[in-house]
Amino acid sequence: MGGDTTRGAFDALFSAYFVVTTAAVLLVLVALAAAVLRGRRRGARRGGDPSRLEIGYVLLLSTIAVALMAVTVTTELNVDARRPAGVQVQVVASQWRWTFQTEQAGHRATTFNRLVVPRGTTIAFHIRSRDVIHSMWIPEVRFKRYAFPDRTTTYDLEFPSTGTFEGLCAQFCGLDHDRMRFTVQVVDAAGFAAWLEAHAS
Amino acid sequence: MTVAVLPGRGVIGWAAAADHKVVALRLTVAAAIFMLAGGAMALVMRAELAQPGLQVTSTETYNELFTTHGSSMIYLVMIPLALALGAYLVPLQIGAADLVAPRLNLFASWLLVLGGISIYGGFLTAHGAATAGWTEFLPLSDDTFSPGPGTDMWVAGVGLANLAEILLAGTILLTILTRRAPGMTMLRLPVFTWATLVTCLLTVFGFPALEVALGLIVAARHFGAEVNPVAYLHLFWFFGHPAVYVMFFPFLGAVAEVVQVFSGRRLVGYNALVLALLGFATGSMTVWAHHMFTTGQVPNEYFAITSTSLLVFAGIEYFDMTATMWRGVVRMALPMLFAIAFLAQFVIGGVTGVITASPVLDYHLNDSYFVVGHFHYTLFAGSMFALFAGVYYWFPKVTGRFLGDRMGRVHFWLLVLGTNLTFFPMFVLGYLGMTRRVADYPDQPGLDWLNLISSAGAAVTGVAMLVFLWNVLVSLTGGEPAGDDPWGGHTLEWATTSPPPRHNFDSLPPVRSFAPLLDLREERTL
Amino acid sequence: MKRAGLVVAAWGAVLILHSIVLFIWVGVAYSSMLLLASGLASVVAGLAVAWRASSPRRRALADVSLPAVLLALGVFTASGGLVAGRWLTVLGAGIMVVAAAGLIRESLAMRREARG
Repeated sequence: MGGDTTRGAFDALFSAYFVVTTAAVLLVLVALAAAVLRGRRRGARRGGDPSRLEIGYVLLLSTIAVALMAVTVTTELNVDARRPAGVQVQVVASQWRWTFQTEQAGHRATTFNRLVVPRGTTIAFHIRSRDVIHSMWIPEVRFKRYAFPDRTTTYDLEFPSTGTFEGLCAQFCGLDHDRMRFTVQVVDAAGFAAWLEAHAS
Repeated sequence: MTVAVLPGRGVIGWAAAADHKVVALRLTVAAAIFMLAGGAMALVMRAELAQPGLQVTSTETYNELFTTHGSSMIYLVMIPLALALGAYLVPLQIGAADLVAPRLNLFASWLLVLGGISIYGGFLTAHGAATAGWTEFLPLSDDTFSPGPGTDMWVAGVGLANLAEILLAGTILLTILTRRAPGMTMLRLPVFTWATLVTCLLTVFGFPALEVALGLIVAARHFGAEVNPVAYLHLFWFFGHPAVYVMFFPFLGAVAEVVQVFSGRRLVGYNALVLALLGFATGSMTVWAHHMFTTGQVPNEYFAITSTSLLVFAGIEYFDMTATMWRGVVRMALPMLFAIAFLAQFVIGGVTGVITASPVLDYHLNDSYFVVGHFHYTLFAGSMFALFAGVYYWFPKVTGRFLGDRMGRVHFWLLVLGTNLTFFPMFVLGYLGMTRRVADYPDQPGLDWLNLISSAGAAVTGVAMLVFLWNVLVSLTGGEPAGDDPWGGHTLEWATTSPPPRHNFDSLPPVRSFAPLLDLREERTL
Repeated sequence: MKRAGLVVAAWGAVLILHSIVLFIWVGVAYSSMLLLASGLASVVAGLAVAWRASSPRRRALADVSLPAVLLALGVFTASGGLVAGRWLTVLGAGIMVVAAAGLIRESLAMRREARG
């Protein structure tokens, strides 16, 4: 569902969920209002077995739930699937800064609190922490991942638009957690290759 | 058949009383004090967040505040209040003279208060109180990254409070299973008692995981253990998810009672609701790793499926309560106002939960203000309102007096306004990229005015809560007197005096359904 | 009266079923083991309650119990050892022993009272 990018997948799925959940809330509010107003106009009603209506309602809810599960699971499997990546980024999170080691075709550059990546291609990230649990969040691509001190976690990201974007730590990691931010610079392929060559160590 | 022995008098008598009603009231008073403290902290936090930049607190103090606010509201307020409601009402609703093991409940009630004192004691130490959230993940909570006794006092305090909650839930559960009045089969239990039963199942069989998690923190801090951080996460959330349902089911049960009485009829779909409660409770135990979607260390698909399935059980509960109102004649007394507000507002918390139950959506929304908005809608706009429905409904039974109606309506409308103003902007803030547990945030478009609105809402909420507190204090001595059954109740607690005597009942009416008093009333009109 | 315990056991059985699904999914892991443990505990507890015959005997209701409060103070004091050192834990344990003795004395008195 949605594009191959995390951003595309999120936006499409969120739109669908937004419609379903808003409709559900409105339905509940209307039903409550109707139930309150109805009783005040007529006398109490007894008898009548609502179980057939309830069974139908449960079947409807279950169908909606299964539909949501289906679209959720397929989207998630798609987003989490690994793809061949030409660019590799080692991310080291520590109290309270980000270290990025960006590599392509043998060139490797190290930056602090600044991530430079090419647009429109799969980039493999390998994240770990030097101390406590952190979490790398880039709102522009609708994605975050925990950084653990005892293991490296890998995932793919693709950045569909050029520009400068926010990155931040999303797991409380101590005193300066709220200042543990970084910038993400997305440039075109040629600009990225040039930058990498210039900054390689 | 019971015989009362070892009577006590005065303050000592009240402090050491084992009567389940006094145990529950002590817990309620303690929870109210912790709620005032935790609420004051929230107001300071919202004052700080009203504008970008640090104006009110230092970062270190802010971190202490959000940790103690969350810890108070969960360990010291909402879970204790959930259990206190059951501790007071279950023996009355099932026609018993007391809970099983009264002295154990007395012990547990004090253990909980002392646990709270330990948590707050951290503020008096040089390094200050604990600062790693109500969750205190390892390794952040070990002695390297959280030096000082504040975190140890938090661990000890939470350990005591949690143990107390397990014990109390255990006795309430045993009481429901073994002390019901003759004729009260399981399928004649009042809805509130069923809701309490599942609450106790979650507490007894889910909360011990927290004791183990706390033990891991002690091992790391004092015995140099290298703890697998993912193991801690599993143990913590295995407790942490059932915990939020413990803070939901009893209040839902209170709303179900209020809806029945103020619709003038018994619940529509009782059997379905009981099955839904039991199913919801089993579900609650199987979803915990949705808090770990962004770790990449758990089978996200399994937990997404179990988490999404919960909407079916919630839907059944909504259906039955709406149908009861539909088929009855609704009286808009104060308890009913709060009950309806609960149903209208909780659904927003519920659907935002369904959203975060989808891993791809959670990859963006987890650990953001969207989640903060979600759980405050379920716990405050939801459970807290439901609690107020129960309080306005049962206050006359407990005290023999009504809570003031006019002040109650001021409380209600201020609270509706304040709650929605405070928490709705948080969904947008999270979507825009604001993370949680931050004393400060960048001066970016959207973040500033949304935070300002939220903080304004918090001020209104604070005023509403003070109005309620004033109403309680005034009504305790000067409230309109209420008799045994001022509302036309359905369940056995209304068949005794207000307040009930030590042994609860002088005699019991016959029990032929889950609404025995309604049965008697209907028989008389035939 | 006895069958009520089966509700708890049935609830636990559902948890065990869920854990089996998890075992198939992830094998032996923290998640599957936690769920299995919880389910087993519930089944055992539920069966235990259902098994024991209810005894409608005369019970004495304690009105006040100072030893129970003292026991809570003892546990609290013992937990303070985490911060203040082992001596506080020992002191707390001592208080707990005194409280336990008081509780036993109370239980005997209540049993005598109930027997009438």
